[in-house]
Amino acid sequence: MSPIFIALGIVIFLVLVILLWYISVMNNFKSTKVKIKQAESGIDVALTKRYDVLTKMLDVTKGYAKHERDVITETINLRSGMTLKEKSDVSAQMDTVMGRINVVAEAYPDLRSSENFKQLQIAIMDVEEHLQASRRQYNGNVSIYNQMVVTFPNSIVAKNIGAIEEPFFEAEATKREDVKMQF
Amino acid sequence: MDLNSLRQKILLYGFIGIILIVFAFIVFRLILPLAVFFAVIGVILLLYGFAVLRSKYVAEYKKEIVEGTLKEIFTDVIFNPKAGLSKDVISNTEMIMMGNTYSSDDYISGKYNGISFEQADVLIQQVTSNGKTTSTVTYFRGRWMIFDFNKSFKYDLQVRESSFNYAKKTGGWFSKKNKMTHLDMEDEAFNREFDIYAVDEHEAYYILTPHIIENIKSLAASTDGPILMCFIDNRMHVAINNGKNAFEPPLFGNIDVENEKNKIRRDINLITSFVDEMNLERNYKE
Repeated sequence: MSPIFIALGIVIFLVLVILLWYISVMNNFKSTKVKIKQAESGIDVALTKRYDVLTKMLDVTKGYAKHERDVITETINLRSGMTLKEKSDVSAQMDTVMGRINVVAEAYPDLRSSENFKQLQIAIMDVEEHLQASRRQYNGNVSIYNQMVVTFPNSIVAKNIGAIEEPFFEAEATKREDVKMQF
Repeated sequence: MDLNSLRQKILLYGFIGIILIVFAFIVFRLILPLAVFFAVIGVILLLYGFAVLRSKYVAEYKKEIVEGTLKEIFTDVIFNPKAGLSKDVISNTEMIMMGNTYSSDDYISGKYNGISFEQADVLIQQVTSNGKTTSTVTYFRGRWMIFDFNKSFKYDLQVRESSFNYAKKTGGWFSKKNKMTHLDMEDEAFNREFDIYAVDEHEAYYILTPHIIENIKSLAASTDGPILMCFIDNRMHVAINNGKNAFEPPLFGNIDVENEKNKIRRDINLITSFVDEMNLERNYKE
């Protein structure tokens, strides 16, 4: 067989291999992005559920601390399409409200011992576990995605398709003092 | 009958039986009928000592020492040395190869700190024979524990030490269960030592919190065999492939009751460690 044909065959083979690799990496980027979106929606679900349980807890504690309900409806604003930072801020605000509810409960033993309140405490613990799980799942997938974006040779594909590093979901402890608490 | 007396009787019958069999071999060419007589008596004494008397000794030991120690630590204790976990309980996990031979004994159920659990010794083997030779592969020999888990979850999860052989994941061709995929956690050391297979990624993170991951690592380091953990139907299965039968009495050496109880307590410590370290008494279920 002519050496030209052999060389051509090798070149075509190499081009095919590179093309298949490129497609595979590109698909990997897209599927990981989908997983990140899925995890982010898990965070939304957990935040919504946490908000609902907190509201129920405030209904139970309303005879003891009237103002927290106003705080949660006026200050904490859950809506669709929030950025990651906004979700992180909301999560921190809910942490503060939860902290204040616990302080109120400590001051009133009959509230603390009520069955409703105990059930809601269990519910909030479970919701917080789910929120942490969603956050870790989100961050885990973002870590995988970001590693692909920055490492060679995947970074070549990333640059071509416009893939950039995604932000991590971080709890913002500093935002807690922004929530106004009144008695 | 006193345990030490029973133990000494077993050894005596065994010793005499062996002497008679040896004597039978010696006189075999000289006086055949006498040799046969001594051999038969020797075998009967051996069988009586190591089968009948030993069975009685093991039963007495488990009733006096094992059951008593279990009741000191757990509530609602049921201990049945002759019963075990049913094969279906383990095969329904679809997380371990089941072979063609299954046996289980030393069944315990009870509560510790309000958490219900079950435990038994389990042996799973694959025995194949071609008429001339028989080969046996042991898939699992050790302790299988089942605990009520403190969180509700819908999908199965498996965590196994990398050295745990003969485990499998659900979702194969003939399985009705959902397919499991491999997952990594944030802890690199944990990922190196364990393989995690989950149907649902979110639930895997929900169950395997950083605290639980740390405790799985330390519990695995304290066991004497590789572990497999299966989270199924709101329960946690823990299988320790240590090649041992728990709660077996010694045959040689005097039995000191307090020493034996301490040995049992160390064995039982594995059950209490899982409840304590994994905080199973902390309830997340509404």
